[in-house]
Amino acid sequence: MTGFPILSLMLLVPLVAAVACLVVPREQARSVALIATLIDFVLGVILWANYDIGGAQWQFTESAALFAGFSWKLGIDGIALLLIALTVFLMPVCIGASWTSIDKREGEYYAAFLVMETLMIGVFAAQDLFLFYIMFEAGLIPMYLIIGVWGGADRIYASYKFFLYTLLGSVLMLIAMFWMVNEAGTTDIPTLMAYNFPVEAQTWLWLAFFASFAVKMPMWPVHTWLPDAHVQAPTGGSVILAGVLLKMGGYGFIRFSLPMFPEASAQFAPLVFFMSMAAVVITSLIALVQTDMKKLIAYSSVAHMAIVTVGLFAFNQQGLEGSMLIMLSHGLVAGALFLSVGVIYDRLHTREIARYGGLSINMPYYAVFFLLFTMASIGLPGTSGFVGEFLSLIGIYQISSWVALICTTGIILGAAYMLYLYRRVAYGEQKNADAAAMPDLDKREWAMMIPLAAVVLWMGVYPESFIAPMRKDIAALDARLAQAKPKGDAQPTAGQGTSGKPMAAHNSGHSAAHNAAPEGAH
Amino acid sequence: MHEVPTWVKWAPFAVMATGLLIAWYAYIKNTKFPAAFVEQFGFLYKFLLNKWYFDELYHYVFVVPAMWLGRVFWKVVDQGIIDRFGPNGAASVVALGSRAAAKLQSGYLYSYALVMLVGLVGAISWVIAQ
Repeated sequence: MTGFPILSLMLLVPLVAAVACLVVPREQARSVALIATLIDFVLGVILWANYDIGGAQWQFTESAALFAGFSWKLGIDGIALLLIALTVFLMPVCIGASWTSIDKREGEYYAAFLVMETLMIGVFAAQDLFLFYIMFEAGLIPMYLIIGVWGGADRIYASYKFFLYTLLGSVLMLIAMFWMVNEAGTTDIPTLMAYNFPVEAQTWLWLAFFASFAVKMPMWPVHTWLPDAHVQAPTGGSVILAGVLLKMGGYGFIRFSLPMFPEASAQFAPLVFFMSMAAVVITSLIALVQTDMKKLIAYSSVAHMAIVTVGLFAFNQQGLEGSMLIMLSHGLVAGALFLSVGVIYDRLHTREIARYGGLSINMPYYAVFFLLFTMASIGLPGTSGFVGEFLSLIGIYQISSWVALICTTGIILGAAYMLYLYRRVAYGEQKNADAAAMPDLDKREWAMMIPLAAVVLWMGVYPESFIAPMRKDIAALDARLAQAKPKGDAQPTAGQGTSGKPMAAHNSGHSAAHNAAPEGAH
Repeated sequence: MHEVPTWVKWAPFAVMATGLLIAWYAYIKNTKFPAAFVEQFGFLYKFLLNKWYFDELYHYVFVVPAMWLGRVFWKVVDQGIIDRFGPNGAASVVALGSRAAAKLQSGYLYSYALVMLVGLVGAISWVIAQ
């Protein structure tokens, strides 16, 4: 596969299809979009199949100099591979979710989605700093249009809020990028990842990048655009927003903030922990009182993303791997939950929880899928949500047991608000006649639910498939962070078991952090 | 585990045996006994029937405060502070600023002439003061 520009092809296919969507008759736009996203999915599968696990760090690299030192440089490591896979997997589902519910300006709608796919893959594949920036920022435009044109009643407010928030942070990031390129003399991301910026400059650079990524993530207290954007967006827009766009913030931390500014990351870790702890508790409590299904899931996304950020700033392998897994899992699960809301929204045209009830009686298959995704969101063992949250919390426990303690309440509160939602929607009496008359899933909906459910279970039962591609890259990042690693508050002692053997023997199979036990024995 | 006194190990069995005896008496031997017990110890019966009122206790200790906190964080913090002074505040400051700026564009020549005069006077005084 060497030499074949598969990444460029993956960027090109949706772009060509987007143009096609604008010119074909409006009834055919959705078919064009579906075919294009399926082609990209197949290309994504080929990409993964040809990815050499344990091989070179950057694979499928392409490079073509453009102008003024700016170049078309693409390439992926395991982290980017997984996120690209998530993107191409979710896109056909989004098109499917929009199949019948979009009934105006179909051509433009599907064109916006396809452009977005190009930009999302571009964000994860870009190896040039400014190429990344362009992809990262341009992604705002199609999403802004999707919310603003095809959204709900209050769509204009939501789309402007989304745009204002996101753009404000990004401008600061652009200024920081100019400074970095000036200092390091290159726009090449892999080179910059190994470049040691002066420690005092790192502080400012870190804050500038943080402004952008924290909004994208979104972290408390800059999260208030998310509930509005999700509530107003059409189902397909919500799926892609929760599934992929939020992951760009986490990807930004992994690709830029942590490796480029390790000292500043360590310096600001307490800030990140504070914001994350606040997010976990506050947004979970807010989710508990929501009466709008989409808003509830949107707030739960903020809480889940907070566990991602604590895992990232745990500065160890478990934390980082856990965060990546939560991002992948949340992409699937939040996407699936928004899809589940979309399924019943298409039938009753309301997101009010109180208008439903007893759906497990008239929509039993729907109720099964909805329950699976609810459980995955809570983090039930055997579903994808468990693996990532468990690893992240193990990771953070080594740094701060208090942060771990507070973030764990998110799992309890998560169970509370998700089960409360499920109970009100699917169980109880069929108190609304129109909700009781809704038909169960049709073939199109089955076709969207099955793959999502399958991957959620796959990731829960055999996460190794998803950890293996990124293990080496996470280890490299961990090694890069070692120079700045903060000292944890855990003080493991060698202790004597009843059998007289030192406890440390149990840890031999674990990571470097555990192997540090003897030196921490004081 | 070896230091535990022997009676502790027997305790669960004793409790089980007591329960078995009471159940045998109340449901097989003398089936009028449960009704008589309810009659006699109504309060105790209701207390046990309602699971020691743990559900109610939890409702007031956990559920009600959690819901209240959620509403406060949502309405007061998210909407009342973050949104009000964040995006909505910024948007209204821009609108206010542009309204103020629009007022300057009165369209009257004498207003513009006055501004020019003030500017000229200011510039000359600055030069003289140097």
